[in-house]
Amino acid sequence: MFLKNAWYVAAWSHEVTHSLQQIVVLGEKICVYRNSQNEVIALEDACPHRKLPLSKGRIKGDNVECGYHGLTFDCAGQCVWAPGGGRIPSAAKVRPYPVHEKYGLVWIWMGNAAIADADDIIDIPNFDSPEWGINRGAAMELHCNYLLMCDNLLDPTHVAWVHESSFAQAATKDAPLKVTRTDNGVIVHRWMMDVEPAPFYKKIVEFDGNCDRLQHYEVRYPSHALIRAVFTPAGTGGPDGTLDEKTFVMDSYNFMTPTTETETRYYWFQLRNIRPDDEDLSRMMSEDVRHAFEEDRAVLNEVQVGMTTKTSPHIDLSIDAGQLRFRRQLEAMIAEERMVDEKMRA
Amino acid sequence: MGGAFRRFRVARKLPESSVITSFHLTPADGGPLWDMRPGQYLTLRIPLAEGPVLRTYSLSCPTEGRDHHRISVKREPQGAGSGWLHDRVSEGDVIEIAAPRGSFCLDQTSERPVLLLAGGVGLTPLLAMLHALAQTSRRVWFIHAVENGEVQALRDEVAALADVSGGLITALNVYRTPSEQDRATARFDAEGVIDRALLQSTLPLDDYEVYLCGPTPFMVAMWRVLTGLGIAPARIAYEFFGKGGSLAALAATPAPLVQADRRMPTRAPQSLSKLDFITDPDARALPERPAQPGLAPADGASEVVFARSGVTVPWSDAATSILELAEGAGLAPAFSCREGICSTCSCRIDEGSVDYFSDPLDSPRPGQVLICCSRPTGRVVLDL
Repeated sequence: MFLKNAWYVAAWSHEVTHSLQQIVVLGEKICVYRNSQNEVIALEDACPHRKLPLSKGRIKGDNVECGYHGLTFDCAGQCVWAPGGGRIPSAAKVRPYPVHEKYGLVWIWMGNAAIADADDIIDIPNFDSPEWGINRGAAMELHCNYLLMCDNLLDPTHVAWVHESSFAQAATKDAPLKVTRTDNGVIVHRWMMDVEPAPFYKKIVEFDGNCDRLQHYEVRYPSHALIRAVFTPAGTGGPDGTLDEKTFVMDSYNFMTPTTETETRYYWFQLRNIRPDDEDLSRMMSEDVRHAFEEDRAVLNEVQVGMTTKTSPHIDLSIDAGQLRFRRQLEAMIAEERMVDEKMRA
Repeated sequence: MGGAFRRFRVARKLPESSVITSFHLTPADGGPLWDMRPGQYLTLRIPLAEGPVLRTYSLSCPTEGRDHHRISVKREPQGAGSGWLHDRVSEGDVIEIAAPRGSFCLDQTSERPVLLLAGGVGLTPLLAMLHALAQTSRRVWFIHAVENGEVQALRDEVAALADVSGGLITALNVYRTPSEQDRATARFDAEGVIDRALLQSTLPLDDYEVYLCGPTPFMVAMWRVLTGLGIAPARIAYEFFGKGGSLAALAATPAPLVQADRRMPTRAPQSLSKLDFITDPDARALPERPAQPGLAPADGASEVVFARSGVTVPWSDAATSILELAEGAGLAPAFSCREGICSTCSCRIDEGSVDYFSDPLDSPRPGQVLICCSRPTGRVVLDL
């Protein structure tokens, strides 16, 4: 079950080229390519004749030609040539998907095209700011349902056990969590006051001594996460903190695209407010983050297997409140969307 | 997300002041008007050259007995949506609209007196509420804070409702910078802003429900005045223009918001200036609905009878939940999350009722309660 009326990440912009390729989003096979204007085109990847994927065919100018009998489709999915005497059958078309390029990513709208609005793509302040550095992330395939990754990103507690060597510090084991429902998702956060910075951050922050640390774990519908880390000299943090000129903020953006019910493509990048042009720092952060995410992947792949083959019930703990509230609201949104779809069809 | 758009015709475009224009909208698809609750808004799909955008506008009309919906829109200097409506849309045009939404609605089950505080164009949802209240016997104060008579919209409609209310509705206009003409025609009741002194001198002591809508600085100021007068936050419902946050958290933040809509304290580096609520994510919490009537907090008179165990325990504030009370009395009820999400602690209630201090994720089945996130309201008998 997926929310359809939403923007998902289809690919990194650089992954989509002038040749045809197939991607899978929400279980739907989609043929993507760039036309002569360099625009990204996304079409249902099945010729309406015998359902050969169009991605097995070839590009003809801006159009796509099926590799079986040459049916040719324009960028809007309309058939412009079919064999058999020139007349084009009225059902000879494939579904076009709205796409939009932003933040170096190709975004795709999987629902009712009439209400696709590129303004609804997540807002990322400071993405182009010269004061902010970025380490462009990568993508990885997770062999688990996308909501398990969303759970992980609403769960500051797992850090103490899964990321012991990087993001964890003693206080991450038991500081209390606060769950907040917002108008577009859920935030789980906590301030840890006057603690030693975790190993990963100790290498980066530009002040000595203890810090006040904020873990802000936020997931917005359908499956986009902002993980904000704030490290500020002890005494300048907390809900009413004044912060400090040395305050370090890292905003980690994470986008989960369900491929199928049990497969997920996971995209990320991080923005930071210090040393924007320091390439070594960017590289180090990329490597450390990738290493940490590999740790998550190993756990989640096993959790997927464990949860689908369980022989005794699982339990929920208080630390799961944020994830479960997120899942419940998303389920309600999906149910509402289906109801509207059925009404419109009736 | 979601929601089907329908086509509506602009039957009438009516200037209400120098900056606010009303649009009367009738279905162009042969369908009925939407069902709406007083206080809700419509979502309009605005076809701009660079692509469509969605904008929301509160309904300013009565919810019943009309052949059209009405929105009243202020022209904003940089507003793409309001600019399009004011400049490009004419009577007869067809626009796309999604169904009314929003939880900032008049509680029509309550009988308490109502205070409606509007700042500028924020009067629109409150005017829809006023129309609904005019059909009841509730006492209503409608106070509209605006710059002056030139920009104020819909003053006469409010005044007309008050005139025929038999004294149940009192409407007051507070002008910050009245013009000579405003003075000559006595269009306003008070000069300046809505402050503590004005409310104290206007309102008799009573148990009000308050609905607030206006620019954020206005609402922060009202929140401080109202809570300063002892009105419980749970009795104050409010709606921000566009995206919001928690008014309680904003009001607790020392001044910066009012200066330049900047929420960053001064010692933070400039690089953080675009980030909202950086130190207090909780300030983005969804506004809470006013508390349900009849849910008194647990007090010393409450007690819990654990019937199966044969134990009766008076409620004590040393316990945060019935579960803790039970554990303190030596019982060991089943639990897992202790947060109202897993339902492991669900148990049968045979008498009395409980008050949830944290909403259960799933409502317990009828006749059952979750004891990990609730307190007794009076005497309660549980099957434990």
